[in-house]
Amino acid sequence: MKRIYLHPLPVRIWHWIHAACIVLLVLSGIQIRYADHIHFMSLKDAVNFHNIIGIIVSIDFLLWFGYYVFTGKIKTYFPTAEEILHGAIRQIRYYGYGIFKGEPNPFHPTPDNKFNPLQKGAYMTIMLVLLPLQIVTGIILLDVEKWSYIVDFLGGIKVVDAIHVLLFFFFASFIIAHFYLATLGHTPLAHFKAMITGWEEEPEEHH
Amino acid sequence: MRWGLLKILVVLCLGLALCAFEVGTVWAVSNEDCLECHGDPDFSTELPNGKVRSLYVNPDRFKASVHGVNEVSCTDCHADLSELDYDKDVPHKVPAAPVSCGDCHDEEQSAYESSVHASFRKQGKKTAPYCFNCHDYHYTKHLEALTVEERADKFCLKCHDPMKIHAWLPEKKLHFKHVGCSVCHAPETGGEVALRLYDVAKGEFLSGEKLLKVLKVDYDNFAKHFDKDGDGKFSADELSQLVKVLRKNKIHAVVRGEFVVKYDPSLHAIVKDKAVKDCDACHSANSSFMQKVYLVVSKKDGTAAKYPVDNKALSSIYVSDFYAINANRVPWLDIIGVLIVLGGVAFAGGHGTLRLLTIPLRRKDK
Ligand code: HEC
Ligand code: HEC
Ligand code: HEC
Ligand code: HEC
Ligand code: HEC
Ligand code: HEC
Ligand code: HEC
Repeated sequence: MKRIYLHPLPVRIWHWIHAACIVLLVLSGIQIRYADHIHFMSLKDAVNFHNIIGIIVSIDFLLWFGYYVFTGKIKTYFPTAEEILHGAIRQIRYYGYGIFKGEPNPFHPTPDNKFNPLQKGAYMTIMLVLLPLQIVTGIILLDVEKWSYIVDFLGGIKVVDAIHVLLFFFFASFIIAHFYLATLGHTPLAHFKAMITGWEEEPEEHH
Repeated sequence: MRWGLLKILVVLCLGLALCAFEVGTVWAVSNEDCLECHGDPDFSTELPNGKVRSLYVNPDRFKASVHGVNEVSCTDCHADLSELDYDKDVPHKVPAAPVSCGDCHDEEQSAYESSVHASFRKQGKKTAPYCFNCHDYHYTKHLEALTVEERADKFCLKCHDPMKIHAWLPEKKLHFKHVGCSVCHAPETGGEVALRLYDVAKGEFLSGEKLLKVLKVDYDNFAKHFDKDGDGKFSADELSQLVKVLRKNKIHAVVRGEFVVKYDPSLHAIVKDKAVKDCDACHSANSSFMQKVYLVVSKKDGTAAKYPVDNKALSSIYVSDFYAINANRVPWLDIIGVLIVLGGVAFAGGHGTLRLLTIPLRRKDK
């Protein structure tokens, strides 16, 4: 077994705050959107709760973003040309075929390059496009009147709401897929452990 | 004999009518008589405290008011001033008796009697409004064409600051823009949805006049022009068609929704304790306020033409500036959403199952 220190402490703290918040946002989001079918919380409490968690996650995101830009780690999210052209296909082949046969993962994370090409593509889109978009639409919905000129420009509150809601469904789906993908380490719990201790274990390979 | 009696009756009636006419012409005061003095823009009087009080009534604006148009005269309201005595400095009694709007508007009056304002007045609070502290008196206009915000500005906001109260309500400004004060404060009257076209580029509501000029139709043919299925109601598609035609004419309008109180005298029973506070009263698909929906097109005189809209149209994305969480969700968004989530589940479930099924394969390899 090889041990790699993959997730420094701030990243782990950030990840778990973030994870808890996204789950709570999805759950309270369901309550808000379907208040006539689900009666776990009153609409008012759900709205207030959702707003508070939303603010926490936005601050958490800004801290993360600052940290990653400042330390230059943000580069770990940008795939290289080689990765886009070949790495991604290699990785798809592995997940779609090799993994079932017990082939080794073609990608080997290092502290400076911890995401495989598919992860890079997915996380870059999520962290730099979808999540910011969700935060921006969320902030608009937090005080619609304050941003009424933006809302008018976009065509009205229902349009802003539609974007926010579609992304909400995406994040709900993402949680499920993300959770599942996290079981694809060398043991089902390996990635979970790594996100707690920081150390990822990789089986030693015999060349 | 019978003819004789009839003749006498006819003569008697004619005589009476003539007498009445005589009395009228001799005694009744016309608006012009009053305006001889009160029609002068500088006509004013000095109060004991030295302040000047204008006694001017603008004749043109009075004539254009609802009362002017309906030939309500000065002395219909100022009933105690129906005689003028020109021998005196002031030809009528002063101070004049308070005007009682309720003499004609009895339904409004009786609803008003059960309002918080009437009870505060009874307790001696003179700042609590009677009819004409809320309404204009000489220049009263129809109010139906007013938007929720204009209504609040013209009435309640003169004396109340709703942002300082209603601590329990989130997004107060948004609510007060889309929900009239009386919708919550006159709960017995009930409400409906008013849809209007809001010009996003100009930042103002599209007036009825301009709308019809652009479309080259009149008030009577406006709805028929778009009513392709002939059901007498605007559907979501017909609304979207309307927005598209406007866009072709370079007007970027969105359909905005508002909860307004029904235009009925009972709206004057303003209450506090029984005011609507329950979120579900509005934020639910069967909200009583969502049952009747109209497209409101303003008229110049302050009235409005109201064209019925199918209330299913509220959940269309085309009614884009109106979303009362829960009450008018867009159904296809939910369908897409379910598909997105199912996609995640199918991926995890499918891949996971394959992994389980291929366990023997990996064992053999080792
Ligand atoms: C000859 C001029 C003249 C005419 C005609 C006249 N008024 Fe006046 N009116 C006055 C004056 C002067 C005052 C101010 C009295 C004062 O404040 O002492 C006044 C005051 C008033 C007031 C305020 C009274 C108050 O309580 O302070 C009303 C209301 C009014 N007039 C109504 C009318 C109406 C209605 C008519 C027609 C039926 C009319 N006036 C005709 C001269 C006139
Ligand atoms: C719809 C009812 C109504 C009609 C019609 C009406 N008035 Fe008045 N008038 C009022 C009320 C109400 C007041 C305010 C009384 C108060 O403040 O106590 C008033 C006040 C006045 C005053 C006092 C100055 C002021 O503006 O407050 C004058 C003068 C006056 N009216 C003249 C007239 C004349 C002249 C006409 C006809 C051209 C007329 N009114 C028609 C309801 C009416
Ligand atoms: C002499 C009878 C009379 C008196 C007194 C009177 N009104 Fe009116 N009022 C009318 C008539 C007639 C109309 C027109 C009704 C219509 O258009 O349906 C009217 C219309 C109105 C409207 C417009 C209603 C609408 O449909 O938009 C308002 C507001 C109004 N009056 C307020 C008042 C106020 C405030 C007072 C007291 C200062 C008052 N009225 C006193 C007869 C009167
Ligand atoms: C001309 C001033 C004025 C206007 C206009 C006015 N109000 Fe009031 N209102 C008062 C006064 C004065 C009170 C008495 C309580 C106070 O002093 O705050 C009062 C009391 C109330 C109360 C009860 C408050 C309590 O403490 O019990 C409610 C609710 C209310 N108004 C709602 C409205 C609404 C809704 C409108 C518009 C349709 C409106 N008011 C228009 C002056 C006004
Ligand atoms: C969504 C419903 C709703 C709307 C819209 C609304 N109110 Fe209220 N308002 C209430 C309720 C409920 C209360 C009862 C007091 C409380 O519990 O806050 C209240 C209380 C008040 C009071 C009395 C506050 C006090 O002193 O205790 C006033 C005045 C008032 N509202 C004015 C307005 C005005 C003006 C508007 C329009 C701009 C308005 N309200 C719109 C629901 C509403
Ligand atoms: C607290 C403010 C207030 C007071 C006091 C008030 N009104 Fe109104 N009135 C309104 C508002 C606001 C509307 C328009 C309602 C709407 O559509 O939102 C209205 C509408 C009306 C209308 C047209 C709707 C209808 O058919 O009733 C008439 C007429 C009217 N008022 C007359 C009166 C009379 C008469 C009085 C006195 C008995 C009175 N108002 C007192 C605020 C007030
Ligand atoms: C009288 C009806 C009414 C009541 C009561 C009411 N609302 Fe609303 N609310 C509306 C309407 C109408 C809108 C839509 C505004 C728009 O289209 O922009 C709205 C919008 C909202 C929004 C913003 C919508 C968005 O998409 O972000 C929130 C949040 C909200 N309401 C929460 C509440 C809560 C919580 C309560 C109870 C404490 C409540 N409302 C009570 C009518 C009401």
